[in-house]
Amino acid sequence: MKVKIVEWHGFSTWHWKLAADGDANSSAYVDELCGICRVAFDGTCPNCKYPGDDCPIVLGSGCTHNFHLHCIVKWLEQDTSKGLCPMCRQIFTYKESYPDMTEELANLKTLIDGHRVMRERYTEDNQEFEAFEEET
Amino acid sequence: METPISKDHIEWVIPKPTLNDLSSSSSDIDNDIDLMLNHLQPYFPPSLLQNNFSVNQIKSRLAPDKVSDPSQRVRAAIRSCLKDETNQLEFVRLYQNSISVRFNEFFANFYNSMPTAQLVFLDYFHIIKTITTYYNSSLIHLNLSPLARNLCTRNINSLFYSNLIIRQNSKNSEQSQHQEDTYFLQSLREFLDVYVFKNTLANPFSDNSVNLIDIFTTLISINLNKDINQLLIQLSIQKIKSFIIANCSGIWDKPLLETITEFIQNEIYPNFSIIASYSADLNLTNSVNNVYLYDLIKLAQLELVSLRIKEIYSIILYYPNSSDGLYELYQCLSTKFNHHHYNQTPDQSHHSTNLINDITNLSNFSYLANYSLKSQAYQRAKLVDTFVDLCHKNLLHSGANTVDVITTYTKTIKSFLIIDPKGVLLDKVVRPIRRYLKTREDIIIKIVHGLLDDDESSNELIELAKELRRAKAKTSKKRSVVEDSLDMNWVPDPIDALPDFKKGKVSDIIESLISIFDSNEIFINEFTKLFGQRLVNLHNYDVTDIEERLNLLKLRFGKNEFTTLDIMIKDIKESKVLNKKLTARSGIQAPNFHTSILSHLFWPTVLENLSENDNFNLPPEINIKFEAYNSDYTSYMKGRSLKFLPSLGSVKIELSFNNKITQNFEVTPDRAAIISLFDDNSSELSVDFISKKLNMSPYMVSKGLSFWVKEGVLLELTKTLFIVNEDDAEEDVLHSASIPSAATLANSGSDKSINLKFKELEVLWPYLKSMLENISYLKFERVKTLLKLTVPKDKFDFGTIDDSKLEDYLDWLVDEEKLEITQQSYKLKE
Ligand SMILES: [Zn+2]
Ligand SMILES: [Zn+2]
Ligand SMILES: [Zn+2]
Repeated sequence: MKVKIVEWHGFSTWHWKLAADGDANSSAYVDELCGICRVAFDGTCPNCKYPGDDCPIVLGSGCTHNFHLHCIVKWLEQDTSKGLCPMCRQIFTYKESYPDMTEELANLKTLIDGHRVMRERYTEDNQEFEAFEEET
Repeated sequence: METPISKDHIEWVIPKPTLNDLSSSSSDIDNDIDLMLNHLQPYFPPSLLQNNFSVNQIKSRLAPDKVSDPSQRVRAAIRSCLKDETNQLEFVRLYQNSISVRFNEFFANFYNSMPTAQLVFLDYFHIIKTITTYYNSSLIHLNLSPLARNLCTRNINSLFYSNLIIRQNSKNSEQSQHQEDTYFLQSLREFLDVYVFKNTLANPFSDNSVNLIDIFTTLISINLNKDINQLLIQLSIQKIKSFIIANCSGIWDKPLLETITEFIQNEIYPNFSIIASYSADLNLTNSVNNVYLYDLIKLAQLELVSLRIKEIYSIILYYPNSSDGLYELYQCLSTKFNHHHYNQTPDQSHHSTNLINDITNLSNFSYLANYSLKSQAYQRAKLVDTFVDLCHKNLLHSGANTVDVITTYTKTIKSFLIIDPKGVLLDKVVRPIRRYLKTREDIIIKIVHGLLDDDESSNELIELAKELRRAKAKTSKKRSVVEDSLDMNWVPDPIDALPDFKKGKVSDIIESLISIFDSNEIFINEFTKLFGQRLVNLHNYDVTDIEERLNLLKLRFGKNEFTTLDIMIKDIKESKVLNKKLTARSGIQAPNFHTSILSHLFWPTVLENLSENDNFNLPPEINIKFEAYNSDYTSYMKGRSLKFLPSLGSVKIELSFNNKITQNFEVTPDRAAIISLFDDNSSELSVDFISKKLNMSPYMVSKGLSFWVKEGVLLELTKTLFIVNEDDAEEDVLHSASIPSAATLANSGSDKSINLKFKELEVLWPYLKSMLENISYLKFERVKTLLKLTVPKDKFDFGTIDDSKLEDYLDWLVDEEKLEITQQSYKLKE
């Protein structure tokens, strides 16, 4: 007897790939929550209805912390964030894994750059001040 | 105080004659009085005073006694005695006393000695007629003034009244006087029934020669009109009542009010009005007569309502076939029961009297007085009480079926909105049902399924599905106070409404069911579960139907209540788009692989049921397909990857057997995975091997295998060993194509090993059977020859077996009790 599979309609679930090694067989990542809104990455931030494309995530590159894009943007929009990761207080940077930049990602990039400029200016000022002090 | 009239009295009351009198009269006064009294003796019809007075005498109807014409001398004596009105009035009072004594003596004697049961009305009437004739002829010669004459008549009438209407037979106590008619009234009622209402059943030998006019004018002359009217009303009501019981009980599927009205107009009212025209105090004009007609119809409606109240529970169950009955109940309950009607003609307005008033005034007929109590308010309340009572008795007990209760609930809503469109009664009757439904555990599931299943044959609550479809015009019905207060069409609630009455809450069937529960959430969860199941069983990604339904539900439950379902539907829609894109990329080489991609956090009801057992290995080719799909997905949807759910979905497979026969199946993935292992594999496989190979639980494997055995694709060698059923597969196909399934059923008998031995020969059985049905007995040689002739070569080749095998098969059929053998011939076992 020959068995020929003509058509296979299967079911799958999608998941954000968080771990760098991309261990797709592990189901452990299912429970990982966004550190800001405390909702699973595969769910949505508090402002979104549909998960996935409508509410993407951002993987930290400076540290190991990941967030919903909308959550980290909201955080970084506050000057008091100083561009730091809200979890570990290191400067927040992300993995630019998307070749086509969305408007929202561009916004994130602008915010991060803004904070960097602020930091650099602050450091320059301090250095100038220190130099001045040294002179006197 | 009854003093018989005597000469002394007369002398005392009548003054001495004047001189003039003496001169004009040749007689003395004493003599005149004697003469007059002598003439008036014995103050009662002599024929009734005879000692031998008997039933026979009454029945013989002797001509009434008349007082003989007085002589000239007597006339003169009367004139001189009753000269002026004062004399006459004094005389009448005394005369009355004499009459009273006789009258009362007579009736006392009459009631004591007469067998009243034998008397009919005409007997009483004969006596009345005899008495009235006697007095009329007696009084006529007295030349009394109108006033004196009137006094005299009134006195006589009151004697009739006290002896015929009030006086009761000696056996009855005083207390019963108000409850029971006297024999006279009973006989009069019977008479009216026969002669007025033409009740030939009561007396088939009614006498057509009876002079009704004489009878009624006589009775009215002794002032019995009120009593006649009462009896007429009683009889009419009785007849209307029995007409309604006979013609309306249990009949709810057609209008009846017109029939009732016709009955009253044709059968009751004509008789009623003829007599009423004699007996009514008022000189009735036609329009006043119509008042009586209207009242009779109104009475009939009250009667109908009483009947319907008793029947209400069955009427509701019978809905919608009882719509006509319900509508007429509404008409009866809503017709204004007051008397504007009569005031339409101003000149009649002084006739404030009408039948209903007449009836209610008849305090001695207490059951008639009930009619006044049966006002609409009373009947509405009674209707509610009766229905609620019957609901508790028949429906709202622990053994009831939830679907039955919901069905009755919806019928109740629709029916009571007919009876009372304002919904006040409905609000009252549904409360106990709602309280009950709230306690039923399965009600949510029943309602949800009822709403979503459009199949009349499977949905016991199809009414709900229809109702949901009807919802189009309705906007979201979120219960909000603001909305209420903005309602421009607000009118005060009817007076008998309960304080928290709200029509919308009870009149809309779906809203009414949902509002039993305080929160919608319980429904939303059930919908999500049900739709989730449907979406998983959906193999063409076409969500149109589900979306349409969801939109209908959103109108009811609120637009934003179905977030999870929205995401689920979006998942399926996006999967469809994605499949198109990604399969276009990976080419269309078989097998065709596609997948529904779920947002796993939003399919709890589907995914929560999955366990490690569902995580079996896919056939390698499918695994390859999925991996390719997944990598395409990852490159297309940056940052995301897929996880396959092997146990969900559906697989189309094609099995081709050695003999070029192919069969197509659409099966679950586990079954597909199992049968794939038999691809090109003619050796037997064990449950254990398959279980290890597929990483599937032995239980699941066994279940899958027995499916394929049942389909005839595999053979069960032992409980744990299976092999492809190459030959059998061919045969099965043939069987299903050409033979009634009874044969295939018989083949799957319990004794597999023997069955297997003759498997190839079983194709012969239908031919054998039809052969033996036509020719009862056949020897083996004949059987063989005939089979060779009739069975087509491509179905069975006789070259492949020898005679002994065929004979063994026939003997096995005998053992199986399909055949029997007598005198070396086979025949069908009966
Ligand atoms: Zn978040
Ligand atoms: Zn978001
Ligand atoms: Zn960090």
